[in-house]
Amino acid sequence: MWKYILKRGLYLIPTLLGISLIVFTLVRLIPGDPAEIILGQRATEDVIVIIRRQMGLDRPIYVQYIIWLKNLLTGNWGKSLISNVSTTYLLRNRFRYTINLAIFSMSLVTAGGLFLGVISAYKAGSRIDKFIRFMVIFGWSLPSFLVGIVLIYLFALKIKLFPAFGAGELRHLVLPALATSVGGISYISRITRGSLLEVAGQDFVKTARAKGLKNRRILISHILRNALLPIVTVLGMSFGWALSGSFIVETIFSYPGLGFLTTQSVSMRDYPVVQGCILFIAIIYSLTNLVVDVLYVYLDPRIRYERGI
Amino acid sequence: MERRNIIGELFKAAKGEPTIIFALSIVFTLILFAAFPQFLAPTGYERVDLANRLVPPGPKYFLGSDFVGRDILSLIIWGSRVALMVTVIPTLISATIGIALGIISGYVGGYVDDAVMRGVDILMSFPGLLLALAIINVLGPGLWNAMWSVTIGRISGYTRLSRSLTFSVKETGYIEYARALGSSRNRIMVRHIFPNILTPIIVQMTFSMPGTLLSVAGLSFLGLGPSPPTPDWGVLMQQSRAYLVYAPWAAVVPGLAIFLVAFSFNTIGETLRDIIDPRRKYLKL
Repeated sequence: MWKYILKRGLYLIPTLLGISLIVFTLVRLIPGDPAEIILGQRATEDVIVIIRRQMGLDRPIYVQYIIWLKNLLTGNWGKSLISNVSTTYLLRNRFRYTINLAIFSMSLVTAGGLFLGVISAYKAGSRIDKFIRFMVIFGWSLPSFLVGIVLIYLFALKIKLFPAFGAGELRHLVLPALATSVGGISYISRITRGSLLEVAGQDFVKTARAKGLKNRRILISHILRNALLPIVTVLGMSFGWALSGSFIVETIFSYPGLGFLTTQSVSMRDYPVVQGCILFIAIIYSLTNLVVDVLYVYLDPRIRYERGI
Repeated sequence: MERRNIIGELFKAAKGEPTIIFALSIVFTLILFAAFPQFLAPTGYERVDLANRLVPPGPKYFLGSDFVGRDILSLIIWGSRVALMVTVIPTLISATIGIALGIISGYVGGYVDDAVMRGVDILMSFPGLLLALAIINVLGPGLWNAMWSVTIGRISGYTRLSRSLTFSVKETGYIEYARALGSSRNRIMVRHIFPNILTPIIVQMTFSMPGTLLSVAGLSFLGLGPSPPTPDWGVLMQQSRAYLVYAPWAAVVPGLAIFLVAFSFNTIGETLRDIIDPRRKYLKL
């Protein structure tokens, strides 16, 4: 098991290097001289030359990449061009808002998705199943910005039940979490239904049926136990979902998380912050996938056996 | 996997299924709107009427008017051109690149496969719109830039799928037969593998189309897509958001249009999947 964890962890290194290479390339591809961008238009020629040297822009490109990487590893992620606040401070500050929202929507997505998925599979082929499958396609096709706007109109403007923007209290989380969850619930319930039916076709279920066990018993102690991807996988997927949706949903609700920070910085061309956001979010996402993979293997003895871990 | 006429089977499956008929007619209407907006739209998309701002849906304006008095129905019809474009073009381009990479990776194997799969892993570590935002950060906002940025993010899905499909047909008799006859590697990939893995990929493409529509519309909604005079549903929503209290229809109607198109493509995708894998229909607990 430890060997697997180590192997999977080592696997992360080329991915992270790849991410950093992409971000570095994208930042360097921005039209204009980075020194001029940082200094603004009022900078004089000699100051630009000094800053170029300080940033290592006169060195070959691979040396620049190494300097840049070294800065990242030592925590020097640059400063916002607009507020002059350090990027790492901004990221740390906004991260907890995103986490709060993610936890809230993860619980909605996991509960709703598992519930609908199990019912749909249990009643496969029936009217209820058809209806749930229809609703899943329906929810899957709803743009989160439409859901967000409708929620704001109904619950913030018409019945003043929840605030349309802001953060800090539980009531601020309700509408953004709902807007994120509609698609996520469809996603999870679809996966759950598929994996349940997959297991239901296997031999040990036929054996259980031949033994004369009751349907409900077969569902609970044979199929559910084997089919439900370990709950951590679902949680991991819903976290990924919440992170993916954060850009649009946080922006609609002016919710001060990482997603809003990213879209705002892209609109304001605040390059150091954009760079920080991209790196930070991609790293969190890769780490989440790592944890989910490891737990998945850890929790499922069959996979451990198959892969000889 | 045999080749089949899935379009014909799709129309056959639509018989007696109102949802599928509905989905097909929405797609048909979208194509019609996109082809002939000048004949079908009541007004041009630039006609402003400040005396009739924020008029609710009714006899004068069937779907209401927006904050500068433009007819929303006309904007929806003119906007369907962009909607159809962002649904089809990113899907076609990303599928082409992704399939090529996937077949090469799966058939050639070895270092090539390793390199391609590491690339896919890296592209997949950017959740949601993150990669698109990173690319727009370089290229700047705009319709085509938004489309490119979404296209790049979609390649990895096709690469994975076509790679695993290539594995499944690689060892079958007809490929070995072709190899024994002395067909070149390129010929086997283009003439033998590609046509035989196409059906599941078409299903994936149908599912991916609403995804690209939602992504590009999301970027326009964030103000990173086409700039205002271009008739676009996402832009219309973004502009009308400020008037949500007085005129909810101006923001909701274009959102519903996006939803209807996405829903139709997803329904068609679901139907196609049942057609190529009929076993799915009869699975039971």
